[in-house]
Amino acid sequence: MSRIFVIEDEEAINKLICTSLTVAGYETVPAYDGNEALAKLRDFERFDLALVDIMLPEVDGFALLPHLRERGIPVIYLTAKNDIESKVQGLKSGAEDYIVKPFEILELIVRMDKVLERTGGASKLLRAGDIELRTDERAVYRNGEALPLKPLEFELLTLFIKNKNIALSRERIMAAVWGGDYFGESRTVDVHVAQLRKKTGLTIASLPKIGYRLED
Amino acid sequence: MKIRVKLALLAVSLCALAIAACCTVLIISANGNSVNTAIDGALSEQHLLVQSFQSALRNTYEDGLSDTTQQSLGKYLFRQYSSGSLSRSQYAMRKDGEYLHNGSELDPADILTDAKTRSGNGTEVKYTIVMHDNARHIVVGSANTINGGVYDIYLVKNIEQVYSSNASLTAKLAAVSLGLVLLTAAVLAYSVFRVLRPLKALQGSAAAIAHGDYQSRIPVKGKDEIAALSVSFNAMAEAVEKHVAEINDVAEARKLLLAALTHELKTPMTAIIGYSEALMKTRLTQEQREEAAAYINAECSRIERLSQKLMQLIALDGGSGITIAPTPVTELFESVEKTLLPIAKRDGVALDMACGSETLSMDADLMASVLINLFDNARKARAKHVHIVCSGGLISVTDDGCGIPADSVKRITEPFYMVDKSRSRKAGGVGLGLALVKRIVAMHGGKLSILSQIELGTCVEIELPL
Repeated sequence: MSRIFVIEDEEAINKLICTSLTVAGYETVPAYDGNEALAKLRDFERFDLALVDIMLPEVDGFALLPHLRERGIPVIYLTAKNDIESKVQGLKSGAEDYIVKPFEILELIVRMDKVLERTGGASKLLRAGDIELRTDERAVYRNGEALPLKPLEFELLTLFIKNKNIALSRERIMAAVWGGDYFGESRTVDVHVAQLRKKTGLTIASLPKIGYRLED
Repeated sequence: MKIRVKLALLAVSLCALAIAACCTVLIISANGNSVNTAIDGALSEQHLLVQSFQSALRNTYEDGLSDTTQQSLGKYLFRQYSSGSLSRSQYAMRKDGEYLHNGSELDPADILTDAKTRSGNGTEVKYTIVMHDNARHIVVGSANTINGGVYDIYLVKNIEQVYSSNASLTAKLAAVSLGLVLLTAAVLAYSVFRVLRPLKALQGSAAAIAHGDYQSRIPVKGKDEIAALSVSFNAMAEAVEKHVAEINDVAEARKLLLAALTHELKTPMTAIIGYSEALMKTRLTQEQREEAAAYINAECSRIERLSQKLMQLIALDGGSGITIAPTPVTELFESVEKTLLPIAKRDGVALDMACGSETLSMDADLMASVLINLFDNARKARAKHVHIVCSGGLISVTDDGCGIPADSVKRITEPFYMVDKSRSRKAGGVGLGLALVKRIVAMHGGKLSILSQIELGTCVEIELPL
C-alpha cells in the first residue's frame, strides 16, 4: 500500500484528501504545517509520495522540498495560485507535478498514479476482496488461483482497484481504458463491467447518473 | 496664422503707416516751402529788375525824346541790364504790346493771361509755373508805367532744381522710412518671439500631459502674464497628476482586492467541491458523510461571512451611508456592551468598558462595528481580558492575547492578510476585519494605530478629530 504524506494547512482540505485516498486504498499521513511535516518526516521510515501545499505557515512548501528530496520522496504541489511563475518555480525546484485548487479527487489520483509509477512507489500488488492483482506480472489471482482475464478486462480491473470506493463515470472509464480517442458506445463499458463482475465476483455497484463503483 | 506673426505684422504695419504719414506731411510741407521760396525769390528778383530798369530809364530820360528813341533807349538799357544779370533768369520786356526784348524761349505775356495775381508795392504782379523743355519754369510779369510809357517786364526762371531736390528729399525719406520699418519689424519679430516662446513650452507640456506624461512641467521665467499662466498651468498639471495617481491607486487597490478575493475563495471552493464530490461518488461511512456535510456547511458559512464583510467594505468605498453626527460616547458604549457581553460571557473573556461624558463626531453604527470587530480580534487572539476605554478623542481597545509579530503589524490592515491563516480561519476569521476598521476610521478623518507585543497583547488606538 502506497503511503502518501499529505502536507496541507487547511484542515478541511487535508481531511478531504486523506479520507478520499484512504477509501481508495492508500495509506495517508497528514501534516498541518511545515514544522509538523518535518517532525513526521523523522517519525516515518518511508513515504511513497508527498502532496505539499505551497502556502504553509512556519516553513512553506518550497522550503520543505529539499528535505523531502533528500529522502527521495516525490512531491506533487497543491496550490491556489494559478500563475505560470509559481508553476515554473515549483517544477524547477524538483517537484514531480503541480495541481491547482480547486481540483477533483479523481484527477489527483490519476496524477499521483503517474508519479508513483514513474518513481517506483506504486504498489505492485493491488487487492480488492479476495482478488489480487499483480501489476508487474499482469496477472490476477482469486484466492491464490490465477484468473484469466482479457487485456481490456485487466485494464478495467486495474482502474477500478486503483479508484476503489470512488465512482467512475462511463466517460472516464472509456477514456482511461479505451483511450481518449475512442468513440465507442458507452454500452461497451456496461458489457465489460458485467463480464468483470461475473469473472471476479467483486461488487461493482452501478450508480444511476454517476457511473460504476468498486466497493470494498 | 500664428499669434506672433499676427502681432508682429499688425505692429509693423501700424508703425509703417505712422512713418508714412509723418513723411508725407513732412514732404508736402517741405515741398510747399521750397516752391514758395522759389516763387518769392522770382518775385523779388523781378521787382528788383523793375526797380533797376525804372531808375535807369528815369535817369536817362529827357523830355522831348521821340517815341522811337525812347523805345530804343528802353531796349538798350534793358538788354544791358539783362545781359549783366548774374542770375540764371531770363528777362523779357514789352512796350505797348510788343516785345522789345525776349531773353526767354517762351511768350510770357501769353502765359500770364490767366495767371494768379499778387499785389504789393503799389503794383500788380502776375506769376505762374509752366512746363517747358521738360523743366518747370516760373514766369513773373508786371505792367509798369515809367515816364508815361507802359512797360511789361517779365522774368522766366528755371526752377526744376527745386522740384528735383524735393524729389531727392522724398526718396531719402522713403529710404530711411523703409529702413526704419524693416528695423522695427525685425526688433518686433524677435521680441514677440521671445515673449511668446514660453507658450511653445506650454503647448508642448499640455500635449505631453494629454499623452499621459503627467509629470510634465514648464519652467517659469519672469513675472509677466505668461509667467502667471505658466504657474497656473503647473498647478493644474500637479492637480491632474495627483488625481490620476489617486484614481490609479484606487484601481490598483481594487485589483489587488479582487485578486486576493479570488485567491481567498479557492480554499473554501476546493473543500466544498471536494466534499460534495466525495458525498456523490465515494463510498463513505455514516460518520464520514456527516463530517463531509459539516465541512461543506462550515465552508459555505465562511463564504457567507466573507461576502458580508466584503459588501460592507464595498459600501464604505462607495462613500454612501455614512452619517457623522455628534454622539455621546456613553450611548455608543452602551450599545456595544449589549452586543459584546453575551459573547464575552460565553467565551470567558472579561470585558471592561469605561468612558467619560464626551461627545464625539461619528457615525455611531459604524463606530460600533469598529469596536465589535476589534473585540472579535482580541477574542480570536485568545485574550482573557479586554479593555475598551475612551478619553478625550481617543478610543483604545487593549487585550492580553497572543499579540502580532512586529513584521506583520504593518500589513495587518491589508484585506485578507492574516498572521496565521489556518488558525484565524478556524476561529472564523476571513481577513477583512481590520481592513474595515481602518476604512471606517479613515472616513471619520481619524487615525488608527496598532501597538502589539507578542505573547503580551495588542492595543489598538483610534484617534478621532474633536
